[in-house]
Amino acid sequence: MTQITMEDVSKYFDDGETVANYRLNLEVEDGEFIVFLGPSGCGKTTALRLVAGLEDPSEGAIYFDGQRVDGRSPSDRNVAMVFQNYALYPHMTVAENVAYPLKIQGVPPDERDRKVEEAMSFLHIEDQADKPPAELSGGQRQRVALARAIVREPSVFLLDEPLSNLDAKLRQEMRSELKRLQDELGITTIYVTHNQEEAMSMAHRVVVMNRGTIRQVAPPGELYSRPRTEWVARFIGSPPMNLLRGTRQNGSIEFGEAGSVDLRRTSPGGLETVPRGTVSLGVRPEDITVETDPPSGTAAIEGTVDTVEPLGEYTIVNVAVADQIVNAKVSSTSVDREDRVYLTFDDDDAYLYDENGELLS
Amino acid sequence: MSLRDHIDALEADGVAWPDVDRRKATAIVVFLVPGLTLFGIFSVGPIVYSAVGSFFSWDGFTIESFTGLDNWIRTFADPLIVNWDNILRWRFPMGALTQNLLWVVLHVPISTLLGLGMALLFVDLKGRRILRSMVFLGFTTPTIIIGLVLMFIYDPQAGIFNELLRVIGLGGQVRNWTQSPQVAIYALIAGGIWVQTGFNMLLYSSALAAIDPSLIESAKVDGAGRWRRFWDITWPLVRPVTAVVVIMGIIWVMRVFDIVYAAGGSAGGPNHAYSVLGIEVYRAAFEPPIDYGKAMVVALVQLVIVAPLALYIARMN
Amino acid sequence: MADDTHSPGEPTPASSRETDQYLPPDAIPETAPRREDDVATRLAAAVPSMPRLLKYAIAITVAVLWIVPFLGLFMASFRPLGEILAGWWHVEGMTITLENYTRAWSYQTAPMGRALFNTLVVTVPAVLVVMLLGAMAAYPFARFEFPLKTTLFFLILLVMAAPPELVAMGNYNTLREIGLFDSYMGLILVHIGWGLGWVVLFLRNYLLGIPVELEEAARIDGASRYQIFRTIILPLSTPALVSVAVIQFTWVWNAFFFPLVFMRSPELYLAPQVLPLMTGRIQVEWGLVAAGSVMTMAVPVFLFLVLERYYKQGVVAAVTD
Repeated sequence: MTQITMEDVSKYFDDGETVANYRLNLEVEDGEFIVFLGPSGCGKTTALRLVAGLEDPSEGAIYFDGQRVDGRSPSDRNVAMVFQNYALYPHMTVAENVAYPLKIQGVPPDERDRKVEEAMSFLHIEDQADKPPAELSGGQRQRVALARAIVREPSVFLLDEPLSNLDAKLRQEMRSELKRLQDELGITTIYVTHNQEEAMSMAHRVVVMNRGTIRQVAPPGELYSRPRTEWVARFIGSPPMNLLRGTRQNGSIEFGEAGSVDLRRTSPGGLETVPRGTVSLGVRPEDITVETDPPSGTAAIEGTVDTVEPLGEYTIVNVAVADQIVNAKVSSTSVDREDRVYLTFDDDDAYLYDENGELLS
Repeated sequence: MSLRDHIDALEADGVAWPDVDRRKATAIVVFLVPGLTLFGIFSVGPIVYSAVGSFFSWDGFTIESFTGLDNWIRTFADPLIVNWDNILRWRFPMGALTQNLLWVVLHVPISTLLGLGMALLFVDLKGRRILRSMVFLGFTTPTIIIGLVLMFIYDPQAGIFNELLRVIGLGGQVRNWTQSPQVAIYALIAGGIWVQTGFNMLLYSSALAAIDPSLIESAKVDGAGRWRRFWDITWPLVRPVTAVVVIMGIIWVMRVFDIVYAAGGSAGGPNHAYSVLGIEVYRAAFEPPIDYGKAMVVALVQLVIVAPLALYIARMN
Repeated sequence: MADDTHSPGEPTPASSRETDQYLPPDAIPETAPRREDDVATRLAAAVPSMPRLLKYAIAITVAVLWIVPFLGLFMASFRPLGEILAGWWHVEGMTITLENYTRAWSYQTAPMGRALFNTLVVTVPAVLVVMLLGAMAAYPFARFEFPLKTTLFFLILLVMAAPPELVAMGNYNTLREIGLFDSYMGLILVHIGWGLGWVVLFLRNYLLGIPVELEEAARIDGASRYQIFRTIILPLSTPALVSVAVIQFTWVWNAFFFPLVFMRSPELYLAPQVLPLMTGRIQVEWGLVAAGSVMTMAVPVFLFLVLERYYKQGVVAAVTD
């Protein structure tokens, strides 16, 4: 099994005109399930292709178990990859597709057949063995691609948005299946997606990427509870975290007519760490309580209800606070449009970000 | 619009169904008739005319009486079409049909391979558009000029081919290639290959461009080397185009006329040494002594050879 | 940490790595940072690898080899016969003259000037009419069911497979019958009839790719079939019509056999027809032939270079669809 290290890896295209990846530093532990998460065009697929060996880094080095591999061809890395469109060979049957990597490795036919059968039954596609890929449904194709990837017992397993072409229900199903697969096989896995739900539900650690570089590496729980920057905070969670821009005044943050929040509540480290000037206060919608009466004792943010969206399981209340909209996710509410409301939240659920969007702690 | 109007309109529509059908039929006729009339008179008509006429005797351009397979038998016995004596001795002229088939046997496979080779060679190069256009240029040129260019290349004095022979020390081989009965046909076939390669390259290039790059990458990750990737992935995926390339090649070659005419006139070379079927049709039909019956038979033979292939392509899609 | 299992160039202590791990957003450059390498390293990186260089060399050699004959033709067209016979590839002391062109332009049997004009007179209508009638006929083929459709389809395929020689005899007699033999009109009609087959098939395939919903929307808006054809179908088929125009133009312009059979008066000769006459009896007048050829091929080659995309797409679609 394999442990992967990326050291200051950069990738430029078009003679340096485009920066796809810039100084990536990452350690992937042996057997770990890592997810590259980010919006489209953030360089996550390029990063995956660098690990696969389909691209060579412009700068930096990549190590598999301490062995430098950049510059080596994909076939020398013992990686398996599942492509976004599955890349099943259209002129081969399902069984031939799955057998192809073994055929190339020169595995003797008997053993090959046995392994192919094993992989196919592992993914429940043994009934499709003799069909061409064109006759399969999206989910079946997905399974064939996975079978083709696991059959050769790779040391690294790379998946490029493997679920993006499936419908919602199938995606859910394959998600748990993939997780089971990875748990059972224990292969170091890098998974690329732009879907945060996929990332949060499957990963041991999530690598959040933006503009070609890594914004945060953290286990899903930490990513949710301690987003390191405003950008990450906004990217994780649905609806995303509210970020209220305010001005730091003596000991509190002012939100104009909406009120103010006592600074001691949110920065246990002491006042000195919070610079003067503009800051953002972040609170997740699910951590906000909407009240119609001014709460006593604690400071609250004041606003007017803009819209109420009852979604059954919960209700989203959009509150206009000064010139910004704050989402609150509540189990039930009696408020109506135009109601005057007060938003409160626990001290632990609030985050402060400085002007550059970095978490203050 | 009032409700009353709506109902009126609906009723009008209701009874108008046959009217709609009739209007549609009229439209179809209006669209089809002008084109199909000209197509019928100048393409289908003459083919039928030839098919029927091939079973009649002719006086010049005038049809006479039904003679059954007379023209057919006469044509196939004609040494200008098939010359068995010379075939057995492998001496030209062997007859236009034999020579035309020799074109097929040499021209088609070689130009197919060259076309594929060039498509693969150019596929990932910068400036491939220009390179492809250079190779394709010959295909856009009038074929009569191709024939004249061949004569120029093979000219004993002015021809660069003979100069090349002199340079590499084969000066003894220098000759007027297009006028030497025993080798001229090969010289002309080389010219045909020169032109057709561009066309084949174009077809293969577009087939290669249609291959999903992730298939190749997937094979790369699976550990396949260059050679395996070609045989296992690329070749199976461009193979269907090969059928088109081969069949278009055969159709092109069975129609070859201009190149041969440019080099050898309506006789098809000295003593008809490299005549092809098209040349025989022309001479029989339009140069005295006029033999319309034979011209029709030969032209039909050309069609009969390629028609099943054309239908095969049509079926394939 | 995994640091002890590998030995990277400059091992970073885990603690400092933690703070360095994330770059501030403004640290990401818009373009690749300029490297400090010396000129030699940069040059080495810019030059492709040996095998790739070799590939370029082969590719360029092949492509150049492929146009050498045309290069020779072009050179010959500007040089006196004596120099051509000595070999056009000798370039030292080269004489450049336009004499070949002027002689070809007013060639006595059939002046090229006149022949090119004749070719244009035949080609333009033959192309335009085929485009219009072809598009009209292709429309019902793509959209409606009508009797004999399959039969017509089969006939079109048959004609596409047929050699031009096969229709020559029938058309010869037809044109004599209706008095259009040896006239522009006669040749134009033959070309139209011959071209319609592939054009109808080609445009039909293209029209099948246009969503029917567009026409249905137009019908609901009250357009008649003819209006739909004129305002929806024709504009949407522009790329295919351009392809048809280039390919048909090239075919008619380049055609040799049809003019040879149907144009008998020297003043009606088409350009491709005149060229073989120029080869003469005893010594081929290479300069004359070359100049005439260059003039004749200039038009289709220019058209190809300008409309290359349409030409190539059209050729590929015509034979593979």
